[in-house]
Amino acid sequence: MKKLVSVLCFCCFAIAAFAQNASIKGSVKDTLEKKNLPDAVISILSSKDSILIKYTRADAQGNFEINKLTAGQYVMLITYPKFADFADKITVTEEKVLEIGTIPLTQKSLLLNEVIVRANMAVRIKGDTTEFTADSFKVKEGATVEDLLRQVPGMQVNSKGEITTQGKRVDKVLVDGEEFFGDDPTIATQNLKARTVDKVQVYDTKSEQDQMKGIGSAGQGSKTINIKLKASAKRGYFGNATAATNFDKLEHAKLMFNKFKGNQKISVYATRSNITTGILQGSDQRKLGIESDIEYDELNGYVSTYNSSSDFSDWNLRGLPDAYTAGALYSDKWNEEKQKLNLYYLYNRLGTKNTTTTISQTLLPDKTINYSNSRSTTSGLVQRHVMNGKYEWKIDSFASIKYVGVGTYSTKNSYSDSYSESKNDVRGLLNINQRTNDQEATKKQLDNVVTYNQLFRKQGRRLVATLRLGLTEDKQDGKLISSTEFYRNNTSDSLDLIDQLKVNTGNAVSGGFKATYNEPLNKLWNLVTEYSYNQSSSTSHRNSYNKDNNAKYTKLDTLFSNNFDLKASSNSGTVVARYIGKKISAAFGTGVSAIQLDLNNLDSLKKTKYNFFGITPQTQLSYTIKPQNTVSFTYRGNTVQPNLSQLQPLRNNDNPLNLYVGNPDLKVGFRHSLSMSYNNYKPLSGRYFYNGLSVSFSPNAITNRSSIDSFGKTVNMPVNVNGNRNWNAYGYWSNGQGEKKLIHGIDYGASGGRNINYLNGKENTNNYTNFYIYYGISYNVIDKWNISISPMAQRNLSKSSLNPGVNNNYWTFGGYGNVYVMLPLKLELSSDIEANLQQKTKAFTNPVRITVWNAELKKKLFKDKSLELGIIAHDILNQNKGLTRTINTNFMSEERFDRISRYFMFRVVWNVTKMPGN
Amino acid sequence: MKKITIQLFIILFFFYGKAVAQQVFLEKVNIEFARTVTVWPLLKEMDPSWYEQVKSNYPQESVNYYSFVSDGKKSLYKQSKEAQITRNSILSYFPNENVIYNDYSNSTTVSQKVSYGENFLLQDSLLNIRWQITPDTRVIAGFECRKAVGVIYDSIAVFAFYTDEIKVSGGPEGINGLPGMILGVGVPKLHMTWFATKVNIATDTDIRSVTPATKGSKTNRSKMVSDINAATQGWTWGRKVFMALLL
Repeated sequence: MKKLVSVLCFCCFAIAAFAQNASIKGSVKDTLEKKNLPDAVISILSSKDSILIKYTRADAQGNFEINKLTAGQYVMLITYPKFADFADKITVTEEKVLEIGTIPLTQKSLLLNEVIVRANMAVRIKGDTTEFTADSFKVKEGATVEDLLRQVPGMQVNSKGEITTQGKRVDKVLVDGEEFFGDDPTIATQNLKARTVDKVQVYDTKSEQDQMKGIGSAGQGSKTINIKLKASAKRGYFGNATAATNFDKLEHAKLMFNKFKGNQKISVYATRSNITTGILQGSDQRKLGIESDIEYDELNGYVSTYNSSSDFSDWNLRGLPDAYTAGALYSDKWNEEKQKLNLYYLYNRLGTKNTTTTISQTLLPDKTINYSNSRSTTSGLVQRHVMNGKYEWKIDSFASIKYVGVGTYSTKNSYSDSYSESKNDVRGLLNINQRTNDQEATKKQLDNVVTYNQLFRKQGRRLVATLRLGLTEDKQDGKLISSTEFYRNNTSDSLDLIDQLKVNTGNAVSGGFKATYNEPLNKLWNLVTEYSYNQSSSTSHRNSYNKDNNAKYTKLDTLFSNNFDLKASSNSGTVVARYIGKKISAAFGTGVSAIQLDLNNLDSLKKTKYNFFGITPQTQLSYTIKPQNTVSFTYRGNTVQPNLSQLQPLRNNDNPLNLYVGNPDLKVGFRHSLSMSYNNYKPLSGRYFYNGLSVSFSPNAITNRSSIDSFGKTVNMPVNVNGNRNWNAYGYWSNGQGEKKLIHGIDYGASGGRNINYLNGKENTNNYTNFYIYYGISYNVIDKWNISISPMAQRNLSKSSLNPGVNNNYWTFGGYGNVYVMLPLKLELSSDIEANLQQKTKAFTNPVRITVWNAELKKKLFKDKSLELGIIAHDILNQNKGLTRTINTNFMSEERFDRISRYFMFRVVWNVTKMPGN
Repeated sequence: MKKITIQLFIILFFFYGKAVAQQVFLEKVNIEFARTVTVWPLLKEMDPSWYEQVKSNYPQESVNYYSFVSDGKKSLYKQSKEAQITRNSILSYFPNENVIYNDYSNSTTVSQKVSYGENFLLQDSLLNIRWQITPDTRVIAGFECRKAVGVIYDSIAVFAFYTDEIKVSGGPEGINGLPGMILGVGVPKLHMTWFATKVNIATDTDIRSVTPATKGSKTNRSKMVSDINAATQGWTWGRKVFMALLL
């Protein structure tokens, strides 16, 4: 064998030698001077395309020799500095030396052509924006943007569609940089198809002015995802319609259609469902397209409102929904895209029915325990109309102006009927409460922001000015009927009856101006100065009426009534120095603000003035070790002003067993927040690593002082405490993304802290620590099958100084899993499972075991796969019970509520797409 | 006056004659190269819509300086003066700090290639380029250079200007293989050019500095190419950055 190999090798060499044995010999001379030309360059080019084959230099005598040439035709090029080139065709034959003789350098020769190759381009990471090219992540056909995001490293999408990335929640999803039907990210992520997406960009949610200052909020903050559609997707139309039913009471229908014509875009969206609310997250004006502004928002925090914003949130949903959504969006760009318009209207309607039972226990400082059981039935209907307009005009290459306006009109009707009883393990029965609450509320809100942006001839010099105007009108009417019987030694002691009409109205006008100016000091340093003035004036009327002799609600109950005017104004200034070097970037500075509140109590005619002085020192440092390998550090300190309801002795008896009283002596608190992060991405190995840590300390933090009396009635009062702190760490590591089939990832986090409150006059210090770890592994064979599993473990630890002996520590296990298989006959089977197994504790003797297992079988029909038929099985194990447990060391509660559990549905999906090239 | 003119003429003639008769070929050289990135068209090709937003933040050109020192048999190419690049700028992802050691007698290279957080130490034979020789010439740093057009890895077109007056078959980055020193290079795909700004005779101290870099993860050319190909599949922006690494 060995012999054979050596023989073969020998043959190969022999052939090679045989093939390259032609040579050329000659010499080069200067024809005029008759001198040799040593070091002249002799190049042998292929005669066909002038490719350089071999070259040599002439020796001291001007002689040259080129060996090992393959037989054939060549061009011989001889050059010598300041001489004309010599080029000639030569033919060499095997095993022969071509004697060229002496070459005189006098001739000129052939002209040759050049070749230029072109290529197409795309993107991935740019500055502080992380960008993912959609096509580099393999998803199955018909996959949505949400499926795509699940593949993106460092991104988690939970079963509700909520997205977190780099340990932060994604609060905004934009499509081509524009709001897409407002605040609900799932409208975009669950309805747009992955293959229409060109890129997914992730960056910190920051206003333009914050970007100028180069400092984000430490530790907090959220992320924005921008979905950039493919250019081809923006010429034509695409959409889908879904209808699903269980042929009984459950139905779910959805329609989304997008049409593009030049720069014009029209989208319509509608849903009807009684399995989801149609909206994922709670909504406020900010998420509807208004950028937040710390100073303006802070001042607006003094304005009291009655309607909460989380009414539509599927996340907070308790009970069975009955929901409708409808919306339309129009956007256009014209005048060479110098003018842009984006308009949308959205309507939501959500009816809910629910029954909640709650059991809770409170450990008192005297080591006795209060137990409470309650049950309430609620029904409600909330409706909201949103109108949003955004107009941008690039006046010239230096100046631009932008207007954003959001108007909302919402109404809410709700009725609740509840019963509760409280007991003490030593003293026996404490109280029994029965009440109904019937409310009707409307809220109108209009917010306007104009932003003017000016650049100057000097590079880096920039001015941004914003004007804000907000109008709010609130109205709430409610009827409260409550009877509470208090017990002493298990016998009735007293009875408290409430039968009141509550009329609350409020309105507010807020205005704000802010100007931010950046001056480049030199190539590395910039100075950013900012000034803002905000003002708001509001009126609030809260009146409670008791029945008069004619059974009409006319008698004012002054204890639970409160009427006031408030004028609030603030002046703030900030100076930040920014350094932007190649490896280090830094920003440090401070903001100061003076807030003045003029409170006019309309009942007592007493006027009160509050003056708060705020200071916000801030520092940010970031060091780029290598590109894609960055360490950054942020510090931000800010004063925390008490809000009006904390300061004013407002009394509210909506829940007569849980009362709040104000504290006019509250001091201004302070919060120090520090955060650090490390980010490393290696594209060649596909390794991504992120680690973040944030810590905050709050001297003079505002916390609760509760006193529970012997009848189980709680009175809460805000007080200042020292020593509150918390910390939070998060990390993510993943390996092997993109083309690779096998992907691992580890996602870990820990948080902890200390908070101090008072219970019955005793100081109670709670120390808590939580850890969790997810390990994810997925394997993907495109269009055949894929599987991904991420088991999770979590540990919760807490200790209270009041009851140091009580152990309420517990483990939680669970995680997610999903599998997809393409079966014969092109049937697609997919299934996912989410488990939450929580250990029992001393307070709750039964463990939580909720495993929600869903499956779906579908088949796509027609050549273009535009029609899809499917059968859905939701919560096959019928365990999707509404249950939340709250465990603090001295307070524990468990709430059970209605939730859609097991159902089976038949579903039809129709996709329409018309894109050029399809 | 007349005398002086005649004397000058004689001197000039003498020197001219000497120059023709004794052409000086340089071997020990210390060459400064200016690498110019024409930023705007590069960004525009990478992402047209993004380019419109950010072009005002970028200079139109970005220039880095490199030194090329050789004794005729081996050479070292490395950065001598870096460009003003804003942090996090896309330009910082390009390999700006490659250290290339070439050994022309053994046809080997030790190249430290740094880009996008990766640090390769490439140990292999010299970069093999198919050169097409053209009759066009231009003068760079006082040397008349001939234009050649090359294709690297069957995909990247480069044009190079070389002079036969310098007896080093090298050039900026790993570009080599012409019958003389390359004093000018252009890579149209990357909108980058390298042109010699100074050619000095290398001192002994310069020559002693010609030693290969030692740090980096060791690799060979085919492995580096396949690694890059695998990682930049479907990611053409990245391909552009890593293309610069292949030079």
